Amino acid sequence: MSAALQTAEPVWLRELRATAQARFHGLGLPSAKTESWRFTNLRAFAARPEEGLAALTLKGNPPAGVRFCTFQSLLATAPERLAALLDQAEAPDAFAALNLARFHDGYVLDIAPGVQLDAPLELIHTNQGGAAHLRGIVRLGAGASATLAEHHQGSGWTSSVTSAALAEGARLRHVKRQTLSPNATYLSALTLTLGAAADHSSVILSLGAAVAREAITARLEGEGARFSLRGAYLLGGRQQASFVPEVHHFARGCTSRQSVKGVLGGEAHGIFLGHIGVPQGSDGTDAAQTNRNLLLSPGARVDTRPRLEILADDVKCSHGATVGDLDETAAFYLQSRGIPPQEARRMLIEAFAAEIVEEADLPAPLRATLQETLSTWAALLP
Amino acid sequence: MTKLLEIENLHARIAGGREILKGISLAVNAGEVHAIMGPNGAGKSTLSSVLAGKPGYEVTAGRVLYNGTDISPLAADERARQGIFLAFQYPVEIPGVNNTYFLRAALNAGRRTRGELELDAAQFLKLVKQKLSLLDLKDDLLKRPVNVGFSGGEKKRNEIFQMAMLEPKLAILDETDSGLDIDALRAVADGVNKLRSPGRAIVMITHYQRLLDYIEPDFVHVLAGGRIVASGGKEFARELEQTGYAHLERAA
Repeated sequence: MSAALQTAEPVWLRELRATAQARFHGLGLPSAKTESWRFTNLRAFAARPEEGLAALTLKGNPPAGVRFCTFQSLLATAPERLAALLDQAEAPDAFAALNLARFHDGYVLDIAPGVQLDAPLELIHTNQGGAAHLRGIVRLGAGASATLAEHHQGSGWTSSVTSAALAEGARLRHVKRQTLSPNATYLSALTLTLGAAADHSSVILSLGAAVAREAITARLEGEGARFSLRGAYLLGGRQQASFVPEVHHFARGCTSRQSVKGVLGGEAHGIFLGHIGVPQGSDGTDAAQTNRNLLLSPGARVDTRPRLEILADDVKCSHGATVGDLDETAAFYLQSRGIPPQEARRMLIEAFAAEIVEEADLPAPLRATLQETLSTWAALLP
Repeated sequence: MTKLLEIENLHARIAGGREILKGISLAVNAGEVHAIMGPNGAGKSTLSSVLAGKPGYEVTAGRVLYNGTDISPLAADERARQGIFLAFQYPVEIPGVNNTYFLRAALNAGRRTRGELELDAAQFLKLVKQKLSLLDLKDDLLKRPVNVGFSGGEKKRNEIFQMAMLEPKLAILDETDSGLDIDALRAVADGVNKLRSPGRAIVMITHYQRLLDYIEPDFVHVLAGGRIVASGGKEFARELEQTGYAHLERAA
């Protein structure tokens, strides 16, 4: 519990929090004039409840070559290590500063160089209804390979700030399911730094929360690094979700893919603000970005803005966005075989979303979990 | 005896458009194979769409009886569950919907309507194997999304495979021969011939004579200008082979 943690905190940590709090006040909340926030329901993020109970757990024991520590345990056993880690923390915007000022817990996940993990590491964060600020630090040594599966559940107001650094040739497969209750608020910022020939992929399913935001900033710093994001926001009622992926091709010969899909019913609102930046000299860049949306009702809405900023010459970049409704021809085909209209509709909607999972590079059991999540969601469609 | 299909003075159009079918009458008994031939624009696709219950078509006069009951109030899926099957001229690609999953959902929807128990995965696969061997098909089509990336021939064979699985009482084959080379046509026709049975009627709608070389109909009708302008038995098919049907169109 955060209050308990804070009373026992050493001076350096209290000072760090105070500095971050001052930075938060100095920066101020983003306004609708800030491009990456302009469609977002800022009131939901501003209206923050009191801090409450939240739990972070790693399923099972970390295997050999893996070190997993929560901030709470580090503070008790090796506070100097935690101090060194937090010293490097960046707070580029107000919410990141607030997170640093108020985090209730966090984790450090270190995968030693060369370690190859087959089984996914499963991380579960459960918010009991208050405000919860969570931080994550993930580091993969050269040539290491791992799969990290996150599940965010519960209710309340959650902020999650994660940084991941992949050394040369490391490979991280990252999966996230966000299934918070329909009145929750969820704010996530993931910053990735990829070394040469490092390979990162994220698969993110955003199903829960009244307002959710997934910001992913990928810095491709080593030659030949690869980044892939496959995401889906699947919303109904008055839910809102934003995906804000930003990929910076700082090195030559890097590849990036962003494929985000939205299914929007009721009066739901989906937002995609994608960005690919290729500075001068980053030749051999291969980048693509798509956002495809299915609108199921007249009250649903999408704002989509894929952006390219290319200053290098020898690059291959593409982007595109579509907004449409269900394919009537396909629906008729299914019905012509005896499938009732509502079932046909659900099959088509699930298929649209499931593509994100089916074409992702994932271990089979994890793929099955995600497919199950999508089937459960589709079965509950109106 | 009640006819399986009775079309009585059927007039139909695409909603809001001009009348395309202008008084079709046709009776089909179980066990019979009827060929309906005609040029482009004769109303062939409209006829198959109206029989299958495709949204967007209007019957302006006449009626369609299936087992003695007017099917106009029934939606496409209800007609299908009662045993009417349409093999599409252009089978639809459905990314993300697995062929096996789709077929099992379709089969079980029909079984529920008939008050039969649903097939579980094992029972279903057994049936699939049996039907695949009947049609001499490989099972790799089943692992793929519905029609996605299928060749023209594979799509048409998949239609016939679905027909084999769903065991309709009335199968309407809409231009099943179009776009097929001779080997693919032979394969599709073999499949259809194996599915002929005393309890099942087949209505094949086609532009081309050559399909009749592979699937021998009991009756042939010529459709022109939204009406059936000539009908006959097997011998009429052979006669048409000599004379074509252009002169009949002109008569219409």
